[in-house]
Amino acid sequence: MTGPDPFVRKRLLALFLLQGSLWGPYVLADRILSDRLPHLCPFHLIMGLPCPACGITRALASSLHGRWQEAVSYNPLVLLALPTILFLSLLTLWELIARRPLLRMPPLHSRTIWALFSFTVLFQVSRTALFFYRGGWPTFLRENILGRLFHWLSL
Amino acid sequence: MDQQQPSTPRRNIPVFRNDPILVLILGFITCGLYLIYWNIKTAEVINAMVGREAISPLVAIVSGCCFPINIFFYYLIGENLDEISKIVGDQSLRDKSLLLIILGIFAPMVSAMIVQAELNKVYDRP
Repeated sequence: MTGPDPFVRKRLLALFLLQGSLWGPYVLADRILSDRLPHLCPFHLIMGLPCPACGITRALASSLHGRWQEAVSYNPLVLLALPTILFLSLLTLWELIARRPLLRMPPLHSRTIWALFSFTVLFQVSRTALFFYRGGWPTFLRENILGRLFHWLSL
Repeated sequence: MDQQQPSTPRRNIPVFRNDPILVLILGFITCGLYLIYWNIKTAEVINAMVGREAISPLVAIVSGCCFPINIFFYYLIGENLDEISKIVGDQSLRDKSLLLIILGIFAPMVSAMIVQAELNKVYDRP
């Protein structure tokens, strides 16, 4: 007995991962939004600072419940993440039905790539600045790995 | 035995050679920004290795900013491991695709370290 061919298997896995990343936060929204689940972001755990993707899971959970304002406050990049996940899911589903690759992304000019990267850097710098401006110093000192270690040792 | 001679001719592969530990340290120090740069460069190297656009640079950038798409990025790398393993000459690499996805969820920098270590082998081979 042989399993599904590699093309179908790979697309099914992609579809599962993409949909899992959407419906996981939806199902766990109660726990995620009430902070009953710990922060899983390794960058946040080590540095105590938000990374560009921090808050996306909570933002996805909020947006899927129709609370857009709350979603954007968690991470504005949800406005990019949600359509991208939906687009990639539809594309993968379409390829599964057609049984062949259907769309190749148009090649990007290297200037476009670096402009997008610069935007990301700018986003992260602004986010970090905003984090400290809104009184993030105590959070930073408490939640970076040295702060945690110090707290643990002083207990 | 896992090691075998590379069977695919060397293409014009851009050089992106790093110490995997450096990938980890820079990833942490820059709060993940370095990993976005790393995603872009790795996509460029993998695309050159397989001779087609296997990973769109757009996906590489967006994946660094949006955690769920990061999983998709490592899925795309996993999808091309067959071809990469032929170029690197290490068949054990083919079995790492699920590991890359799982680590991509919980510790993307470790996935990046594994991929970087494998990419370095391309430049090491004669």
